[in-house]
Formats: sequence, structure tokens, C-alpha cells
Amino acid sequence: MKLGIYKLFVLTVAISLFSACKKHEYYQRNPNNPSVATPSLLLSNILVQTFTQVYPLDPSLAARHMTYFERPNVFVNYNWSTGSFSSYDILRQVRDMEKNAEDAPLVNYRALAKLMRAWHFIQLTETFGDIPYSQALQALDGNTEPSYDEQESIYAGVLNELEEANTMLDPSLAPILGDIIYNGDVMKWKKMVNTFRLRVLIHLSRREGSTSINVREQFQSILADPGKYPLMESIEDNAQLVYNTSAVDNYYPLYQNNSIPSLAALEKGFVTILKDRQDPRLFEIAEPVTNMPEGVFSSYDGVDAGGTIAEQNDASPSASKIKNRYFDDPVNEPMILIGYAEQEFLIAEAIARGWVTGDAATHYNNGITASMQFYGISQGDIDAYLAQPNVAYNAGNAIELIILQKYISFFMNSGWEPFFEQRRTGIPVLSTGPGTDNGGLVPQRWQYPQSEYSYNEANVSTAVQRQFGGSDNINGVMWVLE
Amino acid sequence: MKCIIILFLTALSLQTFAAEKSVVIGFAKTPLEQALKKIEKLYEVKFTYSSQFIEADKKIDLATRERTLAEVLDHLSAVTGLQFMQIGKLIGIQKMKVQHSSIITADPITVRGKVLDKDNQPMSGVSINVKNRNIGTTTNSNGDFTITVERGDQIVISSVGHEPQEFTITDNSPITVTLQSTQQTLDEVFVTTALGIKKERRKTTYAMQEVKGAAIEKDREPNLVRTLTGKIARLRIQTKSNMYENPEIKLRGGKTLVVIDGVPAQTDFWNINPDDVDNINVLKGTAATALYGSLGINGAIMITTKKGKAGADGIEVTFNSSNQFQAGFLKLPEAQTTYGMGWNGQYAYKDGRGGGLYDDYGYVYGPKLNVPDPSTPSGFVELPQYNSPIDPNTGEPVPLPWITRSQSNLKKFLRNEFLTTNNISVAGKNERGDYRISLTHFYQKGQVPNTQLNSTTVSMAGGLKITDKFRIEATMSYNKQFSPNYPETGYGPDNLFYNILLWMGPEVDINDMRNYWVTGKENIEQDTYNYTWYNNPWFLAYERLRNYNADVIQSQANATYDFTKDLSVMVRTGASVNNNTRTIKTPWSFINYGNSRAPFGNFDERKRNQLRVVTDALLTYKKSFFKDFNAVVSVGGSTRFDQFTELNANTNGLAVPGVYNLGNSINPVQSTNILLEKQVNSVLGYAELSWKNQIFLNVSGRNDWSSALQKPNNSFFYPSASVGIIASEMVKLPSVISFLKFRGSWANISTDIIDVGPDVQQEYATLPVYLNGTRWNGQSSLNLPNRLISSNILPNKTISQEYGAEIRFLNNRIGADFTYYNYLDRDFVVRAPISEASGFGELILNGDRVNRRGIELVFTANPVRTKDLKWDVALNYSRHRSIQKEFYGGDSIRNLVQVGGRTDVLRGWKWQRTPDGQIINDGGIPQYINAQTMLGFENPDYEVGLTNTITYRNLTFSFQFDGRIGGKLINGVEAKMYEGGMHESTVNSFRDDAYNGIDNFVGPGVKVVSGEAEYDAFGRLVSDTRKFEKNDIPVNYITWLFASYTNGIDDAVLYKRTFVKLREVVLTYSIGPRLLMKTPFKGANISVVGRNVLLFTKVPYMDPDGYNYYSLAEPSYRNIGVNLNLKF
Repeated sequence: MKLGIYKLFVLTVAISLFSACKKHEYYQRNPNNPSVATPSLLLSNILVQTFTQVYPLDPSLAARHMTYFERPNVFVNYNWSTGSFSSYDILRQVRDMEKNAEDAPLVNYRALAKLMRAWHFIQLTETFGDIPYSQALQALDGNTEPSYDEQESIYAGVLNELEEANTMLDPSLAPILGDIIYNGDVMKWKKMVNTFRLRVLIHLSRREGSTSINVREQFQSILADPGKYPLMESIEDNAQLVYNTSAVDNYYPLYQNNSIPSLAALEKGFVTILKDRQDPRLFEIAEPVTNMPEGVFSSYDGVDAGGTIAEQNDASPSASKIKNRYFDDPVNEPMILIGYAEQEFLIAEAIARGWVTGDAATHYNNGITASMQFYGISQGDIDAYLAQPNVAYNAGNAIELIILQKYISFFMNSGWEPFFEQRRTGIPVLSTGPGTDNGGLVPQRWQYPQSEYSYNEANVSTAVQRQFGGSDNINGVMWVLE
Repeated sequence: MKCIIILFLTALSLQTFAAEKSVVIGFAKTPLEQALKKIEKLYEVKFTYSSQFIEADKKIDLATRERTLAEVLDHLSAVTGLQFMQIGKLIGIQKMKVQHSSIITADPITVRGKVLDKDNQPMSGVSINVKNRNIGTTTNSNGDFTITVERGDQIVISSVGHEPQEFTITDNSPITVTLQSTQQTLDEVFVTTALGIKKERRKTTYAMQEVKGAAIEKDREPNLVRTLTGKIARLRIQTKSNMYENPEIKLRGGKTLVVIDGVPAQTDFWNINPDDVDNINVLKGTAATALYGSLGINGAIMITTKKGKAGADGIEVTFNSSNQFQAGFLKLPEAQTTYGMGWNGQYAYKDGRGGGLYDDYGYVYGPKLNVPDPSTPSGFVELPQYNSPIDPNTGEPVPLPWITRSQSNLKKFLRNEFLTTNNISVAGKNERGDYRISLTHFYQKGQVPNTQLNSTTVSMAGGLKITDKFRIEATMSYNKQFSPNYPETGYGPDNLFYNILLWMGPEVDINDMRNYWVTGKENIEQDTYNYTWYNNPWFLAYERLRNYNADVIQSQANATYDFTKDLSVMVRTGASVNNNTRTIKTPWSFINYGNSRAPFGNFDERKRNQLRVVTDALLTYKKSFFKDFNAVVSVGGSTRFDQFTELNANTNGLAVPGVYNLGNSINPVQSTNILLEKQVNSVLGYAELSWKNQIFLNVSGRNDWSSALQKPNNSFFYPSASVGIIASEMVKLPSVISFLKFRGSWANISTDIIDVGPDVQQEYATLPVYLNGTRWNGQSSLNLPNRLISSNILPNKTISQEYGAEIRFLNNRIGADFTYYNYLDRDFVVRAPISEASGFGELILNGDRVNRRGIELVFTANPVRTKDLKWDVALNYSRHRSIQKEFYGGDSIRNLVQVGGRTDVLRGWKWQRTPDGQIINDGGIPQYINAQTMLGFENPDYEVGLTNTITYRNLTFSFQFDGRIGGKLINGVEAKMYEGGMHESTVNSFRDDAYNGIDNFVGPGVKVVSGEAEYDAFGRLVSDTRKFEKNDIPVNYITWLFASYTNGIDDAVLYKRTFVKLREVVLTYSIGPRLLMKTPFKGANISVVGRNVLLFTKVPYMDPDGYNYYSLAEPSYRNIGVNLNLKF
């Protein structure tokens, strides 16, 4: 009997010991996450990341739409250092989507992959200069130290990819699933591809003569064949992200921000541009100075971002803050990545430069109108604005007018484009002063990330030597700007 | 609680012989039955018995004199073999199991004896006492003694430093006694080693340090492990002052295993009650814990719980009550009281949202307070403030006097912390079995209003000897933790100290803000002093509630069967379960940063269930062979299953304020869950070979098959070998050395615990997956993580070596235990960063090599050891370094850690400095290096702990100092005090001048007059041709302050992390046995304790023991208390 108990005990333990064991294979599957993906699920993520990549306040400070007067800020004081390679994070998703979509019926996903590649490589090269392009994204093939391509070849490659994307996009196929921007409308994507291609070409205005690119000819060929190269026709075609309240990360990025309402103001130069032209958009984007009436131009003012912190602080009580809706409305306004207004300014500029023929004034007025429509401004107010002497198109100072209007239309949208375009054209002049570091200069670029010096040292050093004589500094002038 | 105590007191009185009354009594050949009647009459008691049990006519002899009842019954018991049990006035009689062999009469007999020491030398001055009688003598110079006693008396032979011995005198044959020194006892102490195997301490071959349960039951901490702080060399416990916050525990720089009663547990120590702990043995090295496989890679904290044991009566009841009260602060940040809120000397409140002048700004750089102004009714400057009444005519806030209303709002807000623990336990034992039942309640009232913690533990232990060969044992504890609200430590508006210490001006009296709702908007809108940045602290304390509720079960059962004297088998199963729920209630109008701001409140609920089941079986064979060899060989198997589930759900705004339910969400409820499972199967074995009790050799091996890795890399073997040599027994050493032992060990442990970051699930770390991307407007998405996982991940490997020596001098009065260890961590799975342009940010693969090494020194001494006075000193010293030997891919520097350099690099932003260390200014403003730079090392140079215990008769006084010396700390709290304008040193004339636009502050350091410098991407100076002169450029003081302190330049608030704490002071009075005779108690002591009594450090504003960076923890404080310990 006593031995019986013992036997029973051992048996019980043995049973519990073995019953607890599951097969090894059972654990070789992570129950929490999928190990396969579809192109549509990847696309949604790529689009969210692309459209939310830039925090809109940063470029608005650097481009002097706004200023942050509370304390030293690298975008206000122009003493930033390294930039980010985060676009490669998105490009990894793009590469994976492309691989997942290699079967022919998914050609539209492959076309969007090309568009997204083009988009992000342009962001990167405009930020730094030379970057890894032809050898980029090859970690899976064993290349973890990609070499840097020259900017000219990146531009040439991107323009080719955009040509391919336009050719591949096929509206006759089923709508693109997972498309949170155009809800699967392939034609709208085709329009965006071509509008973006115009932007890329305009960026090359100082490099018109590049034989490897043929800037003019490309621009001409797009405008010459609207059937092959459809373009945006109204703000309905804007590539933009509409915010919503379904989840906290779907809110407008400045929503509930504590600093924007109290520590940032409109920049004085920008307010002056709007006031000088009696621009009704001022009332849509700015609050009047505390205790002043709304909707009267004299109630609005800005802070000079070139001033010292103390000077800016002193000026802040009598300056306009950004409109409350930017931080107390979770939906606020859509975030435009590239839109119809910009396209019209791009065409106007190409005409003004003589690249193509056409009526520059019409495209110019279309651009202003599209921007005002975005804010819901009435046609009457738009017409009155267009008639103002310092607004009305004038071939004599066409480039200045076009770029300035584009600069206004970029307020809180289009990422770093207002800064890049000011850098290319010098319009408008950005305020610098005693608060500006960097020897009083507006930087021309960003330094390469510190990680490149740790993990890809030889290649980054070669690129820095090639472009800037060995000094990776923020005032270096890249090929496209020379 | 009270009724339980009374119940036990009643129960116990049944067991106790009343010894109060002495009566003259004697018997001369009196029959037993008559003797009992006489006793009944004289002592007013009544016997009850069954006549078959007693020999009624047995003759009893007893010399006539004054005796207590107990003495008489003792005598009767001795001569008759009967057992007496008193219940009030009733005495039951039973037969005793073992009868005395002969009839003994109470004749006086004279006994001669001799006392020798272990070397057979006579010992003089040895005391010989008769138990329970006031008779005694001592030995002469030849070690001889003579004493006259009654037959059956017990004599006790004792001498300081030796084990006392007891004899029962049955005849007058001479006695020769050899007294063993207590040294011998020390070696016979058993310690618990891996798998719960008990081993004689002298036979151990690796470093360990033990803490007895008694040492931690008096001076309480809410979390058990905190009481070990400073007591164990190389066990670093970073004690946190914040309520209910887990301390950080590192053993030799690694995360260590905790074993409870032989079973690897998953515990955060909150569920373990010190009253239930018999001892804690810290096995420091890898070889000591190689039998645990992967889990044992960094040693183990072995906790043995109390089991049933008993006094003479077979039952013991203990009551322990500890109550501690806060008695002041160790570190209370003081703030300035001269300037109010605002900016640049200006302020006017309107709506706290920017409607007034700087009323949304959030700084305390406003106008000077207490400035007289004869034109106002109050005689002081008056300004509109957050609590101004509204003028009904203008609708504007009415100005109030601009004066200091509070010297320290933080002090006013906090209350005194209070801790109370009450434990009662019952334990019993007889020859068949033992049991222990214990009930504990712990309650902590936090310093922060409306915070508390309750913890109740019931634990049970029992053992049963079913046959002489078969024994079973089980322990189980159930613990319930419940905190309705506990505070936050992170930096931000959800932290109380953020809202009080850093940003609330002294013109606010925190007590004026107790009504935290806007009148008429209860539950909807809080009333606070700045609606852009800050919450009303009372609103946070009473409405934003962080609730935690946990049920923890820790259990094990085991059975041992002895086939023969030499061969036995042990089977054991242990299970630990931790099911907990945390909720956060966020009220409407809660202010926070960005998206965590909750204008419509929120409700978060997180449920976590954790399960671990471990089963082992072990067959053990012991054998002695040849002449001097002994061997123990064990083989066995083990299986471990771990499961973790988590369910998270939170609302997206509350439709109805104040209703905290997921169903009350405005937008769709967000919910996530996690399931993690892992199975490890193992075979293991060890062998212990000893020669003459002088040389000990241990070898062990274990093979694991883990589900966390992929075949064939999921099978791995852990060998270990260790040796101990007691040199003092092998060779003749000078007599001053009483003990000398050398030990050495080697182990090679692999682990499947691939810890490459909190976002990687260890259980599935080798399996590539997609993560969920942002869900846009209900459309789900997937994201490919930026890590590329090698398809051939091998387990991490640690090869450890440890060498030690233990030496004791002067009859063991001085001792030292020295250990050197050297670990090589190789093949560790790491995140090896690569160029992001390659498409992935990092490779996950077996990579780097790190060397961990250090020394541990434990020094003990008994400077005084007399009969009445005893003084024990113990000193721990340890030093640890972790050195990078190699990076994957051959990099020489990664994250500022250099190959050949320490791994604990503190990174941050640094000033540009001259070669002699002066700050370089440009235009009067200090300049920083525009890259993350090495600031120093985080870990201390060395750590020390010093314990002193002084016993004088019944009084014991002990105290402990411990500290960590060296290391660097970034004092984010100080930086924020400057930023907010609350730092006391911002009160000066420069501040007033700055308000008036005068630039007259000249910062310390130099300015550049010519030349330039270049720094590389790691902030290292490449070239420098600068020439310097003393800085003489005056600037605006506030501009300078901001440039220096608010830019996140860590160099500005970089401190040495050195501190020493007087951690504990305990004064205990044990009530002597004489006094206890008159009470129902077998033992009683009362202690006065002090915890965290003093702190010595140069770091301002924070306690460097537990915090760094920007943690805004509760000020650390001192506790004093009283502990009462009673044994029945």
C-alpha cells in the first residue's frame, strides 16, 4: 500500500511532465504577428508613413512661415546639424511591397512602388546631396555598406522611374486596395506621378543643361501629351491625407500640442507678405493679436525669427498665433503632399522660363485660386485678390511672383518644399539676425547621419570629399543648386 | 486581527505548565495514585487519566522542599514515563512514547568530570550549570570539576566560543567532555544551493552570501529585496523612493534568477513576505547555478521559506508586528520663493490659455513678489492671478496682492508615509510531519495624498513522512496586492512633482487649490493655475487614478523516496501564477503633452497573466569508497513551461465624464493582446567527490532543448566544474590562522533568452514577422521591422571563471572571503547597427564579445566577544567592470563604446572646453559640441556595505552603512529647476537686471580670440588652433541661464553619483527567560528601527540611489518604527 502511493505519485508526476510538452514546431510560429503580408496592407502603411513623415512645424520654422520664440530652436536659429535617413525605413516597405507584387495583375502596386521610390530618393537627395541610390536597399542581398551615387544620376534615375510608373499604371485593372489617399483611383495616381515629375524637373532649373537628363524636353513631352501624361485638374486631384478621429494617431499632427498655441507665433516677414497683399488667407491661418478684433489686417502681426530669444519673447505678446483649429480640431485640414496649386505654379514657371509655351498668367491664377479654394475662400474674394497690383501676373517679375505665391500656398503643407524652393530661387528672403547662428547664414543642406560615419564610413567620406572637399557641413552647396 | 490573537493565546495556555506557585512537597515511596492526589490538593489542580495508562501503585520518591508544579510534574514524568498536559486547572495524563529505562531515585550524587578542547588540552574556566536549578561550578586549571546533583538532573557545560553540551546524570561515573569550538558549527551550517540541494557550507566551491530571515523581519521595506541593499557584495539594488516602484536588481552586472524553495520563480518580490523567509542565499557565480541552465547564467537569489518546526511542546506561534512612520526627508528639493509665474518679469492672468500676459507660458520668471506699492489696498503690487475673483462689471479678473503664499508647496502637499505589517504564524512538528501556516497583512499609506498599497499573504508549508523511506513536502503562498492609486515617476504633466516642484510659482498656495473642480462643472473641468501645461495636483491625486491589483500564487510540492540508504529519488513540481490588472482613470480636462492630453478623459485597462510550471526529477546515489573518498552522483530531468498573456484596452475619450468603462468610449475602443509561450526540456546531472573532507570536486552538466530557438541550435549543453580545498586541514599553518580554503570554478552556460530590446518578444526572437502599422481610418496595415534576423541564431554563451579564498584568524574572530570573477559573454545575440541606406537599420545575429570581471571582498570580525558583550562587524566591498572586447563586423567604436573600453558609457551633450577644462563661450554664451559625446561612466567605481551588530546582554544594536562610490549622473531635475525659474540660485540681482533689459552677466569660462577647432562625428576634438582669453562679454542673465540649462546640455548638470546611506539602525531588547517565565511567551523582543536614516551625497535635488536623468520621484525619506516579535 505504501509503495502503491509512491507509484501513484510518480505516475502522476510523469503524466503531468509529459502532458505539458507540446511539439517544438508548435512554438516556431509567433502567434502575435503575421509572417506574410499582402501588397495592400503594406501600401496602407507606406502611404501613412509618407504623408505623415514631415512634422509640419519644422519646415514652417525654417521657411519662416512661423517662429518658435520660447527657446533656441535649430530650425529658427539655422544651426541644425545632421539629417535623418528615415526615408530608407519607408523604402524598405516599398521594396517589400514591390517584391510581394511581382505577379503581373498587381502591376499597379509595382508602379506605386516606383512612385514611392522616386518620392523618397528625391527627399533624401534634396536633404543631403549625394546619397546611396543604385546600391541602396540591398541588405537582404548582403550589401550593408552601399556606395553613394552622384546627385545627377539620382535625378536621372528617378525621372526614369517616374516615366515607368506612368506607363505601368493601368486604370483598366481593379481599383488599388489599401489606398487611403485616392481610394484606389488609378487615374488620380497617374496624375500625381506626372505632377511630381514636373516638380522634379523644376528643381533642376539651374541644371537645364544637363545632357543626361534633358530637362526641357522632358517637361515639354509631358505637357504635349495629356493622354499619355494626365495631370491634375483641380484640388480634387490633390495628393493629400485627410485626418480623422478613429484613433489618436489619425489626428492632425499639431492637435493638442501645448507649445504651438503658447510658444510659437507667425513670422513677421510672412505676415507682412500677406498683409501687403491684403491676403484673406491670413484670417484662415492666424489668430489676431490678443484682445484685437478678428478679420482686420491691422490686428495681425508676427515675430521676427532673426531676433534673439529675448527680442522674440518681447515681441510675442503683440504677435499672431496660429489659428486655434490647428491644435484644437483633430481633423483640421488635409495634409497636401503635392497638389494642383503647386502643379499650376510649376507650369507657370516653366512657361516663364521659356521651357514650354502657354499662358503663364492662367496657370498662375489657377494656382492662387486652388490655394484659396483649399481654405474655402469665396470666388469674389479670390477675384479681388487676383486683381491687386502686387498680385496680378506680370511677365517682368514672373518668377518672383510665382515663387512667392507658391510659398504662401505651402503654409503647413507640402513638407520641406517651401524651404527647398526658397533655397533654389532665393524667394522670399528669409529673415536672419542676431538670433541666427551658423554665422548668420541660411543652411543649404543637412550633414549625413552620425550612423553613416560609424557603419558606412568609407562611402560617406568619399561622397563628402567629392561634393564638399571633405567637409560635411550645412552650408555646402549640392550639385542641383550650383 | 485582535480576535485571532486572543484565540491563539487561549489555545496556547492549554499547552503551558503554570509555574507560578511554589509549595513544599516530597514523597517517600508513595504510590503514584496517592502522590497525584497530594499534588491535586497542594496545587489546586485535577488530574484526568485512564487507569490503564498508569501503574497506580508505582512507588515515588522525592526529597521534600519547595517546588513548583512544573518541577514536580517533570520529576514524575522522568520516573514514570508519563506525559502531563495541563488545560487550565485540568491535567491530562498520557503514556510517553519512550520510557526511561530504570527507576531513578532522587538521591543526591556527586559527579566528577574533565573538559577538554578539540586538541585534547584541558580547558579551565568552563561553566557547569544544572538546568532549572541555581547550581553551578567551573573547571579548574586542569579542566576538572566536581558537582553534586540529583539523579535525572541535566547539566550544561558551556564556554564562550564553544558549543555547549548537555548531559543527563543517571549515575556517578566520571564524565569526559570535549567541547567543540563554534568554528566547527560554522562549518556544519547547511546552505541551500542549486535545485534546493542542501550542502555543508565548508563543502561549497563557489562564492555565496547568506542573509537570515531574522535579519530582515524587523526593519521593513515594502519590497523584500530592498532590505538586502548593501548586505551582499556585488548584488546591486537601486532603491526607489517612489511608492510601489520596482527596484533595479543586478548581480555581477546581470539580471539574476530568483529561486523559491528550489523552484525558479517569476517574482518581483512584492509577493514575498519577510516573515515567511527562513533565509536568503545569494549564489553569485555561474558555476553555482549551472544546474538551472539558461536561467542560471547570472547566479541566483535562493529564497528558502520557513517550514514547520517547534519548541518542546510541538507547536510554536509567532506574532510579529512592525510599524514605521516617516520622520523627515533625506532629499527634499527646495525652491525659490522670491519670484512668481510669468516671463521676463511680467505676468497677468486672464484665462490661463494665453488671454492674459504670459498666463499660458508656464515659466516662473515673472515679477518679483512682495514688492510694496502704497497705492493698492494691500500695500503690495497687485496683479490678476489664477484665483482672482471676476469683476461682475468688467468680466476681468480682479488684481490680488503679488506676494509669496507658500514656502514649500511640495511639503504642504505631502503627508507622512506610514507602513504597518502584522504577521501571525503557527508551526508544529512531530515525528511524522510538520506544518506552518502564516498570515500577513501589509499596509502602506503613501506620502502622496490618496495613495496606498495593501498586500495580504497566506502561506502554508507542510511535510509528511509517509514511511521511513517516503517523504512529501509542499509549500504554497497566496498573495493579494491592491493599490487603488499609486504615483507616476516619469517627467510630464501626469506627474505630481512636475506640477508642484518645477512649475508652480510661490504665489500659489497649494492648499487654496483643494477644490479642484470649476464650480458647476464637477467631473467636467478642473480648476488649475495654467490651462496650457499644468494639472491641479489635487485633481491629479484624487481623480487621475492608477490602480493595480494582483493575485500571486507561488507553490511547489515534492516527494523523496529512499530506495536504500544510498539511493534516493526526488520529484518536484512548482507553479507560479501572477494575474494582475492595472487600470488608469483619466478624468475629463486632463492636461498632458500632445495626444496624451485628454480633454474627454480616458480609461485604460491592462490584464496580464503569467504562469510558470517547472517539474524536476532527480535520482541521487551516495557512496563512500576506498578509505577517504565520498561521492554523490545525481541524474535527472526537468521541464519548464512559461506562458504570458496580456490584454490591453483603452477608450478614446469618455462619452459621460466620470464613468470609467470601455463601453463609455466616444470613439472605437482600442485593444491589443499578446500571447507568449515557451517550453524548455532538460536532462541534468552532477557529481560531488570529496576526499577526507578536505578536497571537494563538483562537476555538473545539463542539456536544454528550448522552443525559443530553431533546430538544431535549440539544443545546448552547460558544463561546470568547481573545486574547493581546505588548506588549513591539509598542512600545518601558524596557529593564528584557524581556517583557510581555496576555491575555483569554471562554467560554460548558454542561454536562449535573447534580449535585444523591449520590442522583440524573446520567445519568438528568431522568427521574422510583420508588425502592425498605423490603422488609418479603420484600414489596417503592416510594417516590416527594420531588423534583419539571421537565420542561424545560436544561443548566447557565457564562459565564467571564479577564484576565491576564505581565511579566518584568531579562532575565527577575523575572517575574509575574497572572490575574483571573470566572465566572457560571447556569441551574444545583438542588434548590430548597419547603414540605414541598406534598407535595414540593424542585423540581429550572434556578435559582440563582452568581458565582465570584478572582485568581491567580505570581511568579518568580532572585536569583542565576552559573556555579556559581543560586537560583530561585516564589511562588503565589490568592484565590477564590463569591457567591450569586440564588436560584430570589427567596428572599433559603436554608440561611443570603444573596443577595450567600458560598456557603461554615459552619452550626452557636452560643453566645448579648453584643455584645462574651462567652458568656451562665444558672445558670452557657452558653446556645446554639436554631437553626442561620452560624458563618463554610469556605474560606480566600487560599492561598499558595512554592518555592525553590538549585543550587550538582552540588548542588540545594529546599524548598516552602504554606498556606491563613483559613476556619473545627469541631474535632469536640477536642469528643470533652472528652466522653470524655481532654482534657488536664480535669485540674484542679475535676474532683476535682466528683467529691466540690462545685459550685465558675465558667465564663467573663456572666449575665443583666434583660431578654430574641428570635432569629429563622435564629438572628439580633431584639430584645435584656438587661443583663449577670460570671458568678459556681458549678456542677459536669463538668456545665459537658458543657454546653459534648458538646452538639454547634460554637461551643465553632470554630477558624481557617489552616495553613502545610513541604511538601517535597529535596537532590539529581548525579554529574558526569567521574565518570560511569568508570561505565556517563549520569546519576546521589541525593537526600535530606523530605515534610510541618513544620506550623504553631493547630488542636489534627487536621491542618487535610485534615480537619474529626469525621473521626478517622490522625495526620499526616513522612517522610524517599532517592531514587536512574540513567540508563544
